Amino acid sequence: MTRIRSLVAVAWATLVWTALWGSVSVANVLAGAVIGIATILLVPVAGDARPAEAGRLRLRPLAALAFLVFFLRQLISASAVVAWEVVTPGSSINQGIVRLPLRTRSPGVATVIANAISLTPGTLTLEVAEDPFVLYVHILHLRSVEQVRGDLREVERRALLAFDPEAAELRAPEGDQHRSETSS
Amino acid sequence: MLTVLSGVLMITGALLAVIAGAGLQRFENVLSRMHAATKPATLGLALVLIGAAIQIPDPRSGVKLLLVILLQFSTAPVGAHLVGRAAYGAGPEMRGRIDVDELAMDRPEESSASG
Repeated sequence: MTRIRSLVAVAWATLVWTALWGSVSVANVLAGAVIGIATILLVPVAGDARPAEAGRLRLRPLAALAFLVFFLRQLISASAVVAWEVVTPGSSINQGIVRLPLRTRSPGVATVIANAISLTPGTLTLEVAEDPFVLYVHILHLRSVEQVRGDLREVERRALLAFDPEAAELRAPEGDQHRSETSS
Repeated sequence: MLTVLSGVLMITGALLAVIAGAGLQRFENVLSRMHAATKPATLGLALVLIGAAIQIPDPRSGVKLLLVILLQFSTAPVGAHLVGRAAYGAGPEMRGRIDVDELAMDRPEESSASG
């Protein structure tokens, strides 16, 4: 499994390298492969210790496209909000950290959700707990915890529809429960 | 027409980058600065590059610029996450005032640790 993932990583690195040089030549492909292999040797692909049924990333193209459009709209509107906050005098910053328990068991899907949240201005994934996945999200303007959690749930829901439809069927875990952690 | 479009995109992108810089100055602590530093700047860069791609006729350059956007979008949140997490762990002075902190509720030992 780890070996396959390493091979995929090298192939991907070669492809990117060739694309960056802009022409498919023997020298470019070889150089890309060498650099890809060197990178894998320096920074090995993490082995996946999870059981196989832990859930994998499954792409549903139409829902993924819908998620992309939703995400771009969020990105633009939220950028405008943060930009407005910067240029107007006075500070209405009201920091908060909100807990978002995830329904997915797949590390890949959790990464997509955490990245989408981090890329949206005003929200930043600060900490991730595993088994089950819980994101702790830093909020720039906190007005109502439940409202923010609802917005974040909407991001999660759309990501699940695109990448993990089975988890989207599950009931959302209560967000206001304390989760005592012994290890991270 | 295309020139106007790419001009609008590039100017908007540059404005966002300026705003990101101003945000670094204006916000008071590391966590809120990460919001200003990473998000508008990422969108700004994407706009500038799309504007540039419209201007350059060679499609190979477009592929490169698209690649830059993809890499930026996949790496910026990782950097922001790590800096934010380090700042949070460094203690209350770096964190600033946080009104509701559900992470501290769940892990009191970690957030009370002084750095």
